[in-house]
Amino acid sequence: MALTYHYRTLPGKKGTQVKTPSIPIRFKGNSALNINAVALVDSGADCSVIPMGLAEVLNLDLTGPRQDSFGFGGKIECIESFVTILIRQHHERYEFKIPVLISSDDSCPIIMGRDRFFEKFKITFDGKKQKLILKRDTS
Amino acid sequence: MEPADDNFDTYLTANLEEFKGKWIILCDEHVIASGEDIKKLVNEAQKKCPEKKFLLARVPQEGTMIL
Repeated sequence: MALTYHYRTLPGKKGTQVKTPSIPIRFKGNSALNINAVALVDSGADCSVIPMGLAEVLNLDLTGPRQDSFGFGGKIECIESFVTILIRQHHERYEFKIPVLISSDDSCPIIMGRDRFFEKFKITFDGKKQKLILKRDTS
Repeated sequence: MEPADDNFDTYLTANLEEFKGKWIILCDEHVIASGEDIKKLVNEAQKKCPEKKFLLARVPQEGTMIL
């Protein structure tokens, strides 16, 4: 079985359209409140990233090491932490804890990067059908 | 079987042009809050949609996104 998500169409430059592989995830921390949020699946990201505002709502541990993370947009200061994520669709339901970088910049999108996330699934970016397919890898 | 996530379906199909560059919260297939401050938006969503599931999403700025 697999989890399948359609790409989201977003406006690009000069009237063009861009398709993005996004998925709904439930984030769980140390707060009583769990947050459902849309995350971009990014095979180019070493680690998952969430903005500080979300980390504060979830009451995540913010005492971890600080580090500078680098991307095309430049350098952002981040805090290393952990968050529990729940992914579900129809009768499939997967929950696990992943390392996450908490970005000091709240305009940073929620990104699911490779570390501990891509290892859980066989992930297919089907550009032709504009679908993202996550198949649990139990091997 | 888990129910379908109607808020995510709305995120996939809705015209969110007016929210470019902002965080939004979707509940009952509508945008109920938007802005820059996630904590404020979540508080607003809890007041507007108590007991209901809502979905937080970032609407990117127009243009090519390279992370």
